[in-house]
Amino acid sequence: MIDKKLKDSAKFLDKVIELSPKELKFDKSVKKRKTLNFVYNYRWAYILSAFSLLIVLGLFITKPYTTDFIRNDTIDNNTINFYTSNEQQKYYFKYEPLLQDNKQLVGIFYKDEAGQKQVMYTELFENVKRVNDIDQIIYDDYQYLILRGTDQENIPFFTLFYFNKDNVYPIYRKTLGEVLIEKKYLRVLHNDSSESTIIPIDIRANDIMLPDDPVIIGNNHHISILSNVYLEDNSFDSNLNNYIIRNVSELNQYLNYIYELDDLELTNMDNFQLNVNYEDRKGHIFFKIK
Amino acid sequence: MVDAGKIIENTCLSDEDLIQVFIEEYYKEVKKIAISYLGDYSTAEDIAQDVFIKVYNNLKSFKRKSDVFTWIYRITINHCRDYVKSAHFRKVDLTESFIMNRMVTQSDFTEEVIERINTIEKVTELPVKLKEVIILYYYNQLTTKEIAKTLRIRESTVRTRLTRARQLLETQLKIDGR
Repeated sequence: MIDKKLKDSAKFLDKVIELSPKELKFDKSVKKRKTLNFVYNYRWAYILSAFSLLIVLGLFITKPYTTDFIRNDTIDNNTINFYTSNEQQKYYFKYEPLLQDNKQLVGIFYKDEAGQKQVMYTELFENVKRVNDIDQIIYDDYQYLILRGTDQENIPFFTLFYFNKDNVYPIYRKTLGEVLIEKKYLRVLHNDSSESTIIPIDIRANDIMLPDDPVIIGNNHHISILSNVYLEDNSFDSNLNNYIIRNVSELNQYLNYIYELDDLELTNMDNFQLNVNYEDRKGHIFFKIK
Repeated sequence: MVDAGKIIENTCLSDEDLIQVFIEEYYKEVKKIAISYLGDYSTAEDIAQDVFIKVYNNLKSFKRKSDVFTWIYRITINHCRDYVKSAHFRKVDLTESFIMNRMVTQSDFTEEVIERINTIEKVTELPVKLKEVIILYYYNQLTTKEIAKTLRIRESTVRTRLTRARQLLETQLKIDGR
């Protein structure tokens, strides 16, 4: 059906072009004139680009990377307030101490224009002894929030949220382990594994792709792709399921096939992250490789 | 069809004459790519002209590793990509149908014509990677192998993109039909 429609439209396009023939004669002067016009028309763009480049280079050289972070380790009345980088919208994170049966309610809220509390995200924690720490990491117009606590057996757990002005994505829900804040990334240590997962911090907020769970779990040279990847519009790509890959070359081939990443090159199986450009969206896919 | 590759190899034509041969051979095809890529007829004519200037400038550096048409189509696709990224393109309001304007005085407006215009417009609105394979496959009638060479991707990728593009188009046209 669609095939026929496309073929019909191709015939139609041919007809349109036939009906409005325009002879193109090659004239060398056209080339020169166009080039000169182009340079002249965009002269200010060239000048401004040069200035911008100088400014960016200046900032890059003089500004230490760590100044982009704001850390906040304090909890006041079980609430932490935080802002988007332009401070337009105030959000706050809150957890309610023990409700019953060792359960705690945690949530991220904001106040709307009428001052009413609106819910962005809530989760009920079970088997929790206490929540004792929150880390807030701000980068551009998005944030990470790490909530730490201990369970009834005094084993540390964490919950890791990715948060931008529109949405909250829980990357890890109440997971036994720890999150370390490194200079350019978060290192997630899992209690049940000696491996760690790297989450780069400098993700462009509007281009984010986040997996519901670690995307790849494997063993030595055998990797199964188990989970879905959430896309920017909250849909998810369900192509990533149960695929066995035996070596780096096959992994490259597979990922190229799935994501159409023509220039993707993984150099070894120990890489934990991939920078991808998927359907013109830049982002990262996170990997957990056992 | 003129074997442009052989012309380049055996020619005693000047570059100016050679480019004229290419224009006669490929101008319509290049214009087809540009129209369906950008959705604007007059811009497509400008793009086509620029493409042949590029072809002329690069005649000597063309190493004949690929066919001439693959080379010219690749230049066209790259030029369209650059144009789409340009500030000028973002300013252009394309809400009016390009072909519709052309056809008002040139043909009867039947339901069939409107449907075909609609299909082309939906192709224009596809994501770039999907749009390119659809245009080359249906409008320029290249094989998947030739498309793979033109876009420098694997043939299997071309087939995947074609399938995804068809699915997406079908969905879009269904939504419009409601």
